[in-house]
Amino acid sequence: MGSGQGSSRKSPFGGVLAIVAAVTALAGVTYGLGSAARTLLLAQEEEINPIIAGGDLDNLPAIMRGNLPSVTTSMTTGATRNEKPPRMCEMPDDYFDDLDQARDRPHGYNVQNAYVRRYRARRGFLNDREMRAAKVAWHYFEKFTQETTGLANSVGNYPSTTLWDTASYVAGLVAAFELCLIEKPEFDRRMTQLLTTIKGLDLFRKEMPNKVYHTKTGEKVDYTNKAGEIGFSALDIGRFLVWMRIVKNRYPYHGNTIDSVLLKWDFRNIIDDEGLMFGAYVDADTGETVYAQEGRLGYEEYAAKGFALWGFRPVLAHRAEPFLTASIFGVPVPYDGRDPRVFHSQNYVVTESYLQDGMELGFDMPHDDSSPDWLSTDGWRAEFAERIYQVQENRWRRTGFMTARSEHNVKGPPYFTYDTVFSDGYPWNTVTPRGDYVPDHAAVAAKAALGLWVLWDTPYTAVLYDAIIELYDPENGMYEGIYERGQGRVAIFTANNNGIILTALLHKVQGKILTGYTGENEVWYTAFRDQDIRERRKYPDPPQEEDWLPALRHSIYLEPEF
Amino acid sequence: MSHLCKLLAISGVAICVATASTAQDPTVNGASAFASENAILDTSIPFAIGAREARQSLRGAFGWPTFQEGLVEGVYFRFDPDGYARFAPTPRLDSDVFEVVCRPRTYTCMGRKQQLSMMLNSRNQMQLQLDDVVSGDRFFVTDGLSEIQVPDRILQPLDLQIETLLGTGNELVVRRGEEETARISLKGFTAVAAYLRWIAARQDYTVLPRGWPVPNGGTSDTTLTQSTAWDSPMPQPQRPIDTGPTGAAPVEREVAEVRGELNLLRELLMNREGQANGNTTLPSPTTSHPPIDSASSYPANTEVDMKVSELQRTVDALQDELFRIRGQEGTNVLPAAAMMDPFASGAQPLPTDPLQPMPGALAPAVAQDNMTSAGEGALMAKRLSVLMDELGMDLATAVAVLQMSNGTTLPAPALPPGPAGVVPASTRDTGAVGSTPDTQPLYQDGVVEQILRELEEETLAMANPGAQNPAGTAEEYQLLSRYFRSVAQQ
Repeated sequence: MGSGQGSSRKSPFGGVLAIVAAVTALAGVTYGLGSAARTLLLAQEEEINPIIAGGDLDNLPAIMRGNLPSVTTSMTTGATRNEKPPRMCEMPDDYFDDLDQARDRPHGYNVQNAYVRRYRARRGFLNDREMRAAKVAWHYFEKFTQETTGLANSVGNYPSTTLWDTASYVAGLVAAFELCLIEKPEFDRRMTQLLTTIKGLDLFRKEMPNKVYHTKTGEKVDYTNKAGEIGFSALDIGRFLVWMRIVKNRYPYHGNTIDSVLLKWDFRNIIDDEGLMFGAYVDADTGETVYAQEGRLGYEEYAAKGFALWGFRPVLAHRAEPFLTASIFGVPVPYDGRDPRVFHSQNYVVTESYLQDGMELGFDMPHDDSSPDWLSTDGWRAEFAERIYQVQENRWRRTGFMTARSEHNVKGPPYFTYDTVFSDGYPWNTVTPRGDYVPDHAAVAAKAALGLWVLWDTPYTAVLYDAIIELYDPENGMYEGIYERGQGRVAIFTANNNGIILTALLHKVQGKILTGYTGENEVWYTAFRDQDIRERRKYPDPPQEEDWLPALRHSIYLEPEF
Repeated sequence: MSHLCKLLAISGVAICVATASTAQDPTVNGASAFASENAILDTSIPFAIGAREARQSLRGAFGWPTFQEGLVEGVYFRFDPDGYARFAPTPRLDSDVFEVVCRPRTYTCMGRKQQLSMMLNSRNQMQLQLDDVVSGDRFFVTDGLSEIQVPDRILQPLDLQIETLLGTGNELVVRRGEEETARISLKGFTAVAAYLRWIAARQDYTVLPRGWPVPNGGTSDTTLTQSTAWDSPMPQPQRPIDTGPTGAAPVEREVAEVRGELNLLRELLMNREGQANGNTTLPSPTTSHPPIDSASSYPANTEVDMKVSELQRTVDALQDELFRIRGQEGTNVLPAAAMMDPFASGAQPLPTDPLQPMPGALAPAVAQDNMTSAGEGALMAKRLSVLMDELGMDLATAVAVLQMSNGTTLPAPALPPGPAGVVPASTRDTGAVGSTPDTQPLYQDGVVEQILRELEEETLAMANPGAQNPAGTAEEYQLLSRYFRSVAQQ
């Protein structure tokens, strides 16, 4: 026992040696790691790419950003850019034989939040009935375009118009040309005169175009068509921007004129830094300009895309939120969640804004210039539109009422109704602009019916087609619609109705109306780079990939909800 | 014959209003209906407390930019600048709707619900029209449990009682024999009636019923549409241009009421004088009734009614004074020079402004001759105040009346020519009034006549500055008699 205890005791010298050895080993490791890290870091430093002028790392000053091209999907993915299809009269007979509509693709979202719709669009040449309807619809613009200004009346022979309805006229003009109803000289004459007039319009307080203009004189007027000013509408301007982009991309030779029109406008108040759109009106008491958020679910996103097509970032306006759903015939119909009692702005759910998005923009993102027509890269818009279609078909199947609802004019008081799928908490609510319930004015809107017909190739829309396609007056154009309760036709003729009908017929022939931009730079982006005008008027820079609006999705409607 | 004329007139109004809706769309699109000339209302002026002006959700190029909506008398309402309105018990205005349409560019409007139409006639009375009603049909107002029959005069211009009855918000039932031919909800009747009157009066709050929730207490200085001060980019309501029968109707009615009341007072005075003189004149039918509760008859004219009541009390007081004077006859004989003509031009003129103090030469005389104590002086001042402020006399007339009541020797002031420019005939005829007991009542009658005439003319002058002595017509006298008949029926 005693010898064992004596053999286990260590000497102090041994401990010192152990410590020295450990310190020496640690120092060696530290030196080694440090040397390796130093070598590694120094080597990386030497491999940094230099910033090349105009390159990705070059933070360009404002004066030079206009030289950057707008980045679209065709540039980033290398996909083929959508080109303008030939005019109908120039299409070969077998043009539609090879048309890929991907009918075997299941509907739903893909990983990029693009959406494949349940039903495809109708495509093909126009038959005789459709050509007759197209000619009659175009006749409206032949009859009610003012020679002095080139502006078309909004409603029949009443000489006033808005930018929304002027966009409808542009739509009609493009469709008439592409459907071979008019030839290029006539098209160019009308377009040039119109754009020249619009450039010369007296703006609302030197800012943006007034809400209403007199079509004979081109002066800004109030709602009674008397000289005066009302304010401006962001929605109207948004739709006009959509069609300016369509015309510019399809007919680049009109680009400079279009750019000069838009470069006269001041965008500082119409869209804010968060991407909300604002309209303007005049305060009755003070006479000062009041800016108020404008747009509700449906119209708001459509108009937002118009701004985005010109480089703006309407991020909030393009989002669906805040929205709620109302279950109607098993379909969760989305509607704007901003309470009308609080915001004093109605949340109408109508077909029109979804149709325009589908026909003109293909339910695609503004930066998308390459996706096929059957794929909608602005997925939730296509999915919401499908609900709007489905609930109307369901109503027809359950109640027998043919349903294609939209805002439309009516003859006699109240002259205009919002014939809605849902509004103010009620389904199938037909209300006047001040909110009175007027169910007798419920109608099958011609523009909504043909829009549904062209975007949804279903038996139900074939019924709508038969109800509407011959609903015309050869002298005045297509009727506004047919009353739901059997009072006959809505005997009134408008630019919006005839323009959208022509758009629908054009979509059948050519598909998505908006085509890719074929040029490099645009005056819209390069002008005034040497001045502060761009900053003051908030002209945007060419959008880059990081500026794209986000593609979102929402919970999908799959089965009927009861 | 007169009924036939009324029917024709009413039919004319109805046709005008009925054609209004079709006249609103003269063009292909009807957009001209929104011309600024058609704006007759300022939607920023609330019809009732809580109403608000709102912007219309316009998408197109034309329309009314604003409207007004609110809740009053249990019904929701909305109206446009052209007067088009809807009244309904639900905020959606979707059922049981009273609709009001106006003839373009006029203030002629009509409310309608099912077979019932209502409008104002030229005398600003509510007039009903029922479609498919034939002679012999009976009318009932029912609340679902009980019902009362309404007289046939429901189709004549409505009096207050029937209008109040219809405004209870029940149902109007039309029966032909035992068969019910129509049942019309009267919800909103009161509000529509008030709205029609409000339009006709150019948004004047004073025409609204008593108890109407009017902003700012319903003072009459917030009366008109303020169209000239309405600095708005929106279409402005037109200034009242025409002075047609509808526009002048409230003034005419007021004048007629005052005139009728004056006639009543005159009869009362004559009867009391007759009784005091021991005459056996039978009281007229009107005087057999208790004092008029004019406030309940004409709620919109309470001020006038109060003045008339005050006038009646004052006349009674004057009557007492006259009796007292008779008792003092012979002791206080007025100087002949003064009594020959109290309005002699040679007398010292009094200031026309009643607020000015009496001339120094006159006041001491009054104090020396008549007012022997401070209490009498105060009484005199009070009477003078009543005569001038309440009865509207000028100072000369008031002093003359006081002279007569006190039997003073006060030198009578010169009176400027009356509104008619002539001295009242009764005064001229009396000559030396008061010189003999027989002539004194005649003179008193003349003074009262003068007072009444001046009151009447001043009222007319206020109501209608351009008119010269409008004479009363038989129809105007009918108003009061009709009223008394209705009171008698109660």
